[in-house]
Amino acid sequence: MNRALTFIWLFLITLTTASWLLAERHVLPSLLLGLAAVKFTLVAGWFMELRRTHRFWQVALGGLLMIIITGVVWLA
Amino acid sequence: MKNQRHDDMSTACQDRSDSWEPPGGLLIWLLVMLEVVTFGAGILAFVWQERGNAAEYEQGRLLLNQNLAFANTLVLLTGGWFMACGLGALRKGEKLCARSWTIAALLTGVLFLALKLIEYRQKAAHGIQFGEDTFFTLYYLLTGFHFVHVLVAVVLLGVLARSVRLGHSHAGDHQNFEAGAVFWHMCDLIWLLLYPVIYLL
Repeated sequence: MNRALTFIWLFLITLTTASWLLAERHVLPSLLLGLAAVKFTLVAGWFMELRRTHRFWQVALGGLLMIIITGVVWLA
Repeated sequence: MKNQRHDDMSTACQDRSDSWEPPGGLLIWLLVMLEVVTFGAGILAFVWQERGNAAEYEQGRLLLNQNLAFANTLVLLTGGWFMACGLGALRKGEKLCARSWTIAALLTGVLFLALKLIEYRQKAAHGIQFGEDTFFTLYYLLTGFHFVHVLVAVVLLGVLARSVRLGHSHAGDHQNFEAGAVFWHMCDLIWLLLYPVIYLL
């Protein structure tokens, strides 16, 4: 078992629990979306190994994430 | 400690920052980009519609089961971790271990689908169907489309587990396994965007 992957998984679980608890307190939507963006980046970087690929793929997926999150924050 | 560090290094994927070819190959990553664009457009449409149907959205969100969605997020993230560990095991040549991780990931996929079906049944019991209103039409479209992706991923994981058992995937050649893992993680990525927008905002 890879310790780094286990640490990332535990961090993802912690962030998910935090967003669930924060949502009950009706925090700003941008905070919840920010947490989602962090989780998205961690899954793509560590589980999908994007951090070790060509920068093109990192920029492409990161750019799409930014467009979606910015669009949701702007529309919400 | 030293051995553990060595194990961690050996399970890490090779550095491909100089190559255009990502893990799993170009095609699967083009599919990932296409899926993120498609779901992204759906998510933006979902949020856009809230502007003219604020009361309907507020009412709709109250009828959603946030606890099940939270549990499903934990299940998918755990499945992603299992699959990443499975790929690491395969790269080390531990086929039995890789197969076990893959089956564990498959079971999390089945659990996700089961929880989602429970959620759909709860909606049906309240008389809420597809086409009920804008909120629930988009809710069923987005979560239903994602449900189909997880279903396909579960079948793929079954094929991968079988191919490891038969020796088709091994330490020297694991691109098919990587491609299947990328598809599985893509389901995580999409859910991580759907979950806050549909259930939490």
